[in-house]
Amino acid sequence: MMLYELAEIQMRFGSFTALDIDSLTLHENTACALLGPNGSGKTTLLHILAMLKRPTSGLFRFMGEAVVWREKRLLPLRRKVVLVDQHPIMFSTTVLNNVAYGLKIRGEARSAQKRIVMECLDRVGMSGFAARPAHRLSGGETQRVAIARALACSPRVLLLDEPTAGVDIENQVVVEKIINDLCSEKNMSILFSTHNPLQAERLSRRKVFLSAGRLAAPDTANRFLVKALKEKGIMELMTNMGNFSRIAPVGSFISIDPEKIRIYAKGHGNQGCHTSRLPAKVLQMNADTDRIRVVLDVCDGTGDGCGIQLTAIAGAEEIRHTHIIPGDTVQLAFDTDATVINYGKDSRKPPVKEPISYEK
Amino acid sequence: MDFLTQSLAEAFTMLVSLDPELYFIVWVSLRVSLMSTLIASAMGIPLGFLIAIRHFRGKRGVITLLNTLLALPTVVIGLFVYALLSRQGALGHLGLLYTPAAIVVGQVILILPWVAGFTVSAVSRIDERYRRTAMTLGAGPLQTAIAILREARFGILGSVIAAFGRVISEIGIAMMLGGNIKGFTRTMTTAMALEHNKGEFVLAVALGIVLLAVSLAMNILLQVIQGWYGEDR
Amino acid sequence: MMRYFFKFFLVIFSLVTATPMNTASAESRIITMSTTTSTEASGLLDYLLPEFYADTGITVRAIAKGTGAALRDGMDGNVDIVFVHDEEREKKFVEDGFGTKRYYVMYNDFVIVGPKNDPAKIHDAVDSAEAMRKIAKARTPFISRGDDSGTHAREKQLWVATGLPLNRHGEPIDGRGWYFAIGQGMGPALVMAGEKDGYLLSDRGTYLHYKYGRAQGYDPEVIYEGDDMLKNPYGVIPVNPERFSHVNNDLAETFARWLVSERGQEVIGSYQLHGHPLFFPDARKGQ
Repeated sequence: MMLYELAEIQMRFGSFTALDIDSLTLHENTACALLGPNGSGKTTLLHILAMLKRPTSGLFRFMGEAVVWREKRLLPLRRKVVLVDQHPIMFSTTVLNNVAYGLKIRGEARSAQKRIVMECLDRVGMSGFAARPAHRLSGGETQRVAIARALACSPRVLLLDEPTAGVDIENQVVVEKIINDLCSEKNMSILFSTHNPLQAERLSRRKVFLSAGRLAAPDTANRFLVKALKEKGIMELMTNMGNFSRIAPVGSFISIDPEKIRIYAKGHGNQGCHTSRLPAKVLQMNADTDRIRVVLDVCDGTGDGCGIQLTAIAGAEEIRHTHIIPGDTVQLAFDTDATVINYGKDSRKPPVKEPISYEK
Repeated sequence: MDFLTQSLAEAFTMLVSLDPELYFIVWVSLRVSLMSTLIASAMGIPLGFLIAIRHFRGKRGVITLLNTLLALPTVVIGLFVYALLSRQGALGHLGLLYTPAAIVVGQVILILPWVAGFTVSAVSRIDERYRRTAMTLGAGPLQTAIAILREARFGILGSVIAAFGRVISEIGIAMMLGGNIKGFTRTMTTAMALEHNKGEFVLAVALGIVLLAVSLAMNILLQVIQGWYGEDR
Repeated sequence: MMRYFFKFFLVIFSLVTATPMNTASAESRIITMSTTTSTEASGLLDYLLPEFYADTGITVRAIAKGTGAALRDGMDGNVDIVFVHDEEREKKFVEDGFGTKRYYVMYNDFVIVGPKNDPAKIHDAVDSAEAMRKIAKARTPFISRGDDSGTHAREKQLWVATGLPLNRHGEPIDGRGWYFAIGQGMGPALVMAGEKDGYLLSDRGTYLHYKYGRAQGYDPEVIYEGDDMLKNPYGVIPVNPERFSHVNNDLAETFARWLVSERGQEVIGSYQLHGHPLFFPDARKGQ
């Protein structure tokens, strides 16, 4: 079942557009990481997903239901989602009362409250802290209690805003382990934001990248001005690969997800110049734990490197199979969702080639 | 010097001997002031809360107005309420003038801006995350409001205590609206003014001591509360 | 800790709210009277009202003010009866229909108080007007109540009697530097006269109180007394129920009649302040 379906969601503050998402779908019971630099709109998106902030415009569906942004209608939906803030704040009372808050609100019986609270504190390893004043815990302890407080509400969706920011190293490991354990939880989806790609890798199955409020390709190294690509004659090649649903204006940028670039050794599979593949030269290869980062120079029509550098990240196994070494000429293919157009600040978003459709 | 020490000595004798007139005056004062504080709080705290959390046009103006009303002299309020409660006034038929209730009406007007104004600043100081946290944990609008008020409780309580200290020590309203009727509306401050008029000092000094003691107690209470507040943060 | 604290407050608040504010219930017999500060400050009311209560079971709630404000309370219908000392204004009060009838109750007298050495030499003046003229001539400090009280009204009458040029407030024109209008009650005026070595017109009661009633004593003396113009008659006037239907006229009349009765007059005459009589019974036959 679809958990969230967002279409044309915009969040504007005055003339500033904090978030502008064409289309985003999140499935149930998966762990998803939200990546992007500071100020890219991660927190805003989380607040919208938690139904704490109303987007300025757009269609927002939660668990198959179009959300009506009226307080009375929101409350039952909001009770299925809990957001844990980046720096969670504790009510100035005991840890126990903090964790019990959601249960009290829901009118849970006192005996059940106590049991659930202790269970949840146990899961984050904080059961010894029940009687402590919650607002005097350390950052890491606070984060753990905040997660317990969220879990006590038994939400369908747990949203975590930078769960390990402001947490000491030891607690970071503990918090990651808690999240990892929760991912195997049935009937609960986890969505967390982070600016640490490795953490995202460790904890999530899906990654969503945000840049300047828009969905983006992850690595800013693979960001090209369309005008430059046109001059080198590469834009034409890329358009032929059929990756773009919209026309990319000259003033806009194209980002290519490094993890969604497939590398084929020349002569492997298709001989010569394949229309849906882009020739490139391998400049450099770096091992990054179990993955390899490959720096490539895209070839223009003449077959020489034209100075446009592209980074691809692939599993070590996958690269080993291709037997490529630096200096080789290879062929690149992009996954269908590898490219994202980043419209420049001034350029207006062009119309969609084919209208985006969603169920009414 | 002799005069002062003698007055003090007699005043203490009066206090220790539990002089009924003295303690009745103290009782009237405490009762009227507590009542005013209670009513002003019941009105001012929700009002201040709403002003603090709602965004509306002219919000700054309302806050400025509240701050201006803080400086309203008691005699101005006394005069205004007198005109209202006098038999010739709009509410004259209630027959409230020269009763403790009239003093309460005036004092509520005096401290309502205090309680509301300080509640506004106490609630505004509360971290935005409390509201978000309460909401995301499933709280409805009222429950969210309670959670925020709970976090602002020390600041609000401080303002209530300050308001009480203001009414118990004010004289203009008590004199103009209460009329300083013996055994009925004579409060500590109006009794002291009368004793001064009479040229008597013993009762006035004794009442002064009680008033100081009450102020001291209120300030200690405020300190203790602020102490908790400081620790709790 | 907090919990107990809040409970403590709850108990106090419920205690306060549980006791009724205005104890006047339907059957309690209470009247409200506006009177002058002199009757209250002299202690007469504390002596008189309990006697009245013992005889009739009626409680009189007294609000002490200047005569002007006391009459004003009657004119606004805020009280049931007024007990003041300004014959002219009292008569007008009745004429204008605010009161039913003015009863002569008692009088006390004013005295001119000043420094022992009598710098303006007023002791042997032929009448009070000459005494005031001498003060003005010598330019010794004179403390005026300046508060629209009965005493202040009397001061003004005396100034008119002197024949000296007066401004529109009834103050001597060349008063700068010696004539001080302080806008306060009798007590503060007496204290200030003592501080400034000045003269002032005082009612005898307040003066006696300051002179003999206090541990710290009071230096100024009565320098001039006894003139007819210094007599200060007190009248009591029930507020007219035809004008204000809510006033408790029955009880107010009872109080007025009690004051002028033999019993009331005896109580008034027997009141002494520090061994000196203060008020002299003044009830007229057949009133």
